[in-house]
Amino acid sequence: MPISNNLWSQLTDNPLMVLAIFGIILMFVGLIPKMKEWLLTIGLVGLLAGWSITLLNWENSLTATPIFNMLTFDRGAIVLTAIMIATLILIFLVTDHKSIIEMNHLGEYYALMIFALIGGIIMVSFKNLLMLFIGVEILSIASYILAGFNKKNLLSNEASLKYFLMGSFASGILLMGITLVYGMSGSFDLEQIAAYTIMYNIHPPALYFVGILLLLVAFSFKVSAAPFHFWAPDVYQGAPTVSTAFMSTVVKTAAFGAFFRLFYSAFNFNSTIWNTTVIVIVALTLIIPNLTATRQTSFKRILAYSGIANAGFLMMVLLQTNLVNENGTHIAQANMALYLTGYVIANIIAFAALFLVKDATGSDELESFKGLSKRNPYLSAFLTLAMCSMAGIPATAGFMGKYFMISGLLQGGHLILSIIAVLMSVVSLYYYFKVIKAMYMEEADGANIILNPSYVFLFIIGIVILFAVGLMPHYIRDLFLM
Amino acid sequence: MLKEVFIDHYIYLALTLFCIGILGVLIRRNAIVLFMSIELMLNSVNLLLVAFSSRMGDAAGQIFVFFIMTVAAAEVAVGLAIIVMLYRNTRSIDIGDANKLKW
Repeated sequence: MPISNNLWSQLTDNPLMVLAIFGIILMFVGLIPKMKEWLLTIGLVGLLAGWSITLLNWENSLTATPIFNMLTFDRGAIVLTAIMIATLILIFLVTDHKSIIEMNHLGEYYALMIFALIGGIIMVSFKNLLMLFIGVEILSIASYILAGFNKKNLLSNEASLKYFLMGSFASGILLMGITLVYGMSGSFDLEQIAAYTIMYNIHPPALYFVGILLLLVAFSFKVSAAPFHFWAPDVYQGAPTVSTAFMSTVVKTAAFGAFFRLFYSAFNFNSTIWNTTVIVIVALTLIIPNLTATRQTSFKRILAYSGIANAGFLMMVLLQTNLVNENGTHIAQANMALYLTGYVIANIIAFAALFLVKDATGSDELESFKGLSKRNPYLSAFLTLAMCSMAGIPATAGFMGKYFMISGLLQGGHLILSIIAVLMSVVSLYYYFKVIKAMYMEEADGANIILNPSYVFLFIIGIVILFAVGLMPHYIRDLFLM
Repeated sequence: MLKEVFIDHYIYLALTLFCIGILGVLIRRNAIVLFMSIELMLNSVNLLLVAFSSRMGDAAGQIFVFFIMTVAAAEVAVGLAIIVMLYRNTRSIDIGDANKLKW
């Protein structure tokens, strides 16, 4: 069914239009110096409007029809869109801080994040490979600028250059993959590629196989899975903290959404061909960053490595594409959404705490967290809960996410991979608890930190979500089922 | 399916160009040359897309090429801005000099 020409339905069928309008408004309002205090409010209003539109379409999403055969806002897309917009709302709350409000080009900063979000929404709802490519590029080009936003800072410059080179390299590989798949199957449409895959699921032509492999490599770059993860720690450390929070939450959610959507809808029928590669990548992604993170001294870098390690857990979802529950519904996407919810919320709390500590002490080393429990007991308590969730302590969202992922793996018969995953999450306890140890067991060192109302709101919402997901996971997961 | 020999030449040429691009990215140290190598990768993709598209008589592939060219232009703009920014701060465009971040 083609979209109606009615303007109102174009605005309310999906959040893309509203977000784009608010992004442009932010860019122009940013030019007026007097309006600087209003930027955050405008941005939040736009995001809340986009979020409401997403939630209003929640019920329709089960029977969604493609828009011009290019985008489909089905349940999977709506869930990830809602998660991404909510995440960006929380990131905007982190920016309610004196050092950000005083920044130059603040309007562009907010606008770029919203534009990148639009790219992300296109990525999680694409139906045609053309849209996948455009979504990836809208997201990436905005992220390159966000990584280098601190123009005078050499580390930020370097992060931006590395991110740009690796990102466009990965885009080239992605394009070659798309081209080979197109050349063999004759279409960019996911359904027609899937039909071709069913036809040749035993012996696909070699070039088709190469195309799938190139797509796998390109997405591994984008989601920073080992052995293509080497750029991620540098980029995450050098970029401004808010941009890093953005990259490790919204960008990662979008990349996984697209990764899963492509392999689930188009290449699921020959999953035996690429499953082995995925198993190797997941195993490496679990082992390498977890072992490297134990040697890090910078909290920001630890968070970067933990992001890579979490990518390993998230990639397990590709091994569960054929898994169904007792009602015959596919559960992989719900597992991924549940894991992502816990991961992004804990990550944002951690980055907000890091941002405050770095602002007070000027360093992101673990040493600057020494005695934080005496400098601000609430902040350290919130950070401790976030770390517990990331480490997978029971009753938190992180635990339930890992639980569903690993039980899905076991149902698929991947015993050795599950053992590696459990062992590596034990290793991860070490570096997550290093932060907690620094905060509670060591002498206070450095200035007191004051939380303003936005941060208190952000932390309380975050902790409530972490425990809500952790204590009633089945209720939340049923919401996400397709 | 590939029945004619004809399309093979395009595939060989495009894949060769693509590999030259990848090697350039991996070997060269100059940011501008890296950048050119990435463009070479994109252009080899364009060539292959047009070849496939005209062989199958399907316009979608050629339309895709327009999008790739447009997006590549946007990417060039941002990429050159980043290189200029780095040059202003370090007076060098050698990526070997961008080594402040490491473990």
